[in-house]
Amino acid sequence: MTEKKQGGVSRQALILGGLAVVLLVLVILFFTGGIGEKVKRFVDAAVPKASDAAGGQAAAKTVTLFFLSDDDDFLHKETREIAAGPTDAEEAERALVELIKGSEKGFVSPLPPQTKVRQVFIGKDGLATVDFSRDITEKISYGSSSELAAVYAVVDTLAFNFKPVKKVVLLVEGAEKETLGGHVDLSRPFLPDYSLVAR
Amino acid sequence: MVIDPGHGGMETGAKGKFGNLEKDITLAISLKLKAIVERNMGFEVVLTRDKDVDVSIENRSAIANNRKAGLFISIHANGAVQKKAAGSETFFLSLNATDEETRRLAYLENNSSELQSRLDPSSDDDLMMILWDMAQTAYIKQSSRLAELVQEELDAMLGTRNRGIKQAPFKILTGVACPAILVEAAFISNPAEEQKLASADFQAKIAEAIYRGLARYLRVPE
Repeated sequence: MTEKKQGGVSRQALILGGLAVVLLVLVILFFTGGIGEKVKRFVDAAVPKASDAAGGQAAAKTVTLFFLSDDDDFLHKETREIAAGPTDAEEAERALVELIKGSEKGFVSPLPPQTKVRQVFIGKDGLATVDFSRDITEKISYGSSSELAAVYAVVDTLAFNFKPVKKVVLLVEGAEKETLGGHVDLSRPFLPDYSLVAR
Repeated sequence: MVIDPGHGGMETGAKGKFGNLEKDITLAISLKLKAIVERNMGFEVVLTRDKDVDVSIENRSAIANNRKAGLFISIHANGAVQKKAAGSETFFLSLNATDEETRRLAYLENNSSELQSRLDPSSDDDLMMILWDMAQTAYIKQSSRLAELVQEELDAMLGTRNRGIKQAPFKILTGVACPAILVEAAFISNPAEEQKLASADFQAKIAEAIYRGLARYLRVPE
């Protein structure tokens, strides 16, 4: 008795569900002018997501980080895989976290390891704003060389890996700071300087 | 002429392995340089600090600008993450300008008579910034010459690695309205150079070298 009733209910639900789907498709077609362009894009966008879930693997992006070497005064490139997407700003934040974490090939990070990346914002004008925790100024006593290296490791890492980034501003604890350690002027945006990078 | 002993007070600057602080070494060298210049040249030398006190970067440039300094020399000891980093170098300002600013500046330099008409009079900050940049640009050539001569003398006298002259966007150099250089005498982060920097003999050599470079600059200004 009860089984039969349940069967009836589910059949009803199936019909209702079917109708709802048809209605939804009609509504979508109506709003997209029936061309199906937007629907198609929607479907395309959903495809990689589905395969990610199936493969259990997030998309990766290879970034180039800039470290110091014990043997010379240049910045040295080292590549690293980070999780990709969804935005440039989030990838940039991950790249900077890796830069702070340090090298896997014996190079040295110019940033104090305690430093946290509070936020990265990339504006439409190509200006990237990076906000670091106060550790970036307090956990190291900078000389001119180490301060220039710290600033340009950040600036070059962002500009080299993220096409929209043309110039970079550094903040500390959400505020503008004169310098990190008494040398390099932070009040103006930095352009990347690859002359500091080993060839 | 204004001599600026880097750092001071709570702001120690770079630290050496043996506990020497950049702020103490810069003051010692600056006092020696002031004495040599006053003994040998006829003009007044003002220090931005003559003891171990905090002086903000703005106040340092204000001292130079209020006293109408004709030359500004900032004395520093370098610090690097790499212990092996060594040598002497002399900096002058790079304006760290963005592309747009650089283009605007280049345009204005070549069309200075049109300056008033080309600028939006409502944006006072922009105007001040551009005028300031123009003044700075005018000093850069002289600063570069002074840096070159001082660096040659450092190289001749100190026996340290010659790292040459370089441009950097150093805050202390951005606010000074005259030719200005920043001397990084040697690396306090390098244990061997730290010990040299702490010795009165080596400090005197640095002061003498800067003085010789300065003397050559004043004799042959261009």
